[in-house]
Amino acid sequence: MNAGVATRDVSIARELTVILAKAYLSALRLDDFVDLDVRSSTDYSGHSCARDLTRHLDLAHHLARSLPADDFTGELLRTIDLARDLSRQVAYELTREFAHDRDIAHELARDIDSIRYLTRDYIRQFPADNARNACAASAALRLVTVAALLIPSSDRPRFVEEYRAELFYLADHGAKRWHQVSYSVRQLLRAPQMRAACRRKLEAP
Amino acid sequence: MPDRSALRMTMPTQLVLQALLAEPGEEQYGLQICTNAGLPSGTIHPILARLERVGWLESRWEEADPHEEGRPRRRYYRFSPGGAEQARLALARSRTPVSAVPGLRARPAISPG
Repeated sequence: MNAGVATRDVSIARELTVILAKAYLSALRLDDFVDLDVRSSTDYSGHSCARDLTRHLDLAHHLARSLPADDFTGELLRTIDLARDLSRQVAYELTREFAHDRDIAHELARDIDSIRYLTRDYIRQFPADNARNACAASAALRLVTVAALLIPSSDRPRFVEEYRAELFYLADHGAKRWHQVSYSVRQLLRAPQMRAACRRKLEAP
Repeated sequence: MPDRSALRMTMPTQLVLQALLAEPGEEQYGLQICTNAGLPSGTIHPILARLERVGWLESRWEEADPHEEGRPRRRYYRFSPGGAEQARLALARSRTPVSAVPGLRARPAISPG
């Protein structure tokens, strides 16, 4: 799979996850709301919840359509469509009466939860791209910055970039935090040697 | 000219040179050299800087846009013209052959991919 396309797909899937998380919260609110069975005050709040939910699901549907057309995306779209139909039905029912709302809201929350799991599985298809977004440990980054401070200023930007890049690639290949910190500590311990090596280079005729 | 006599042929230096000499025409980046030399990551930059200082190595940044690639640039090292030959001679002259130290190259290191 083309790396650029895969990165874009993961980005879409991530956005989808955020939207679905919001949709899930709306569905839970709706579920709680219906559980309370406070019919006298439901018209506005309940309808607003359902409308938010429909909006989130419309956006989720739009995002999911941008993903590559395969069985997985097909299943995702079908489930989103089902949830969308349910949320519209809830909105419709809330404007009239509350018959069957409880069942519909429960079903809706369950469907949206399953969509979230589907999306999470989708993102897991791209472990390398996920790792690329992983950052090096902040303690390790701080330590290499300190190590670089001991290097002559003319060479410092190069080595800061090089050390940080290496920390990135260590993290990218799954190095644990302690491994990254060990790398930085080694750089720090060798900083006087680096300083000497760079200074001699400057002094060389 | 840089003072070549200032280069001490320590054991890690020999390991780094051997790793680079395995493919003298190829460029390698820092973590790759660490792995190939069997040295822990974060230990070779002073060695590489010294080898650059004496003119045996040259380095360059990878020609890639970090924003487009979604990853930082790598710094690549390779022998300068004549550098590989100098390194071979220096290794041949060095008193402690790396091959005489059992298990030294067997240290685990993270794969640079």
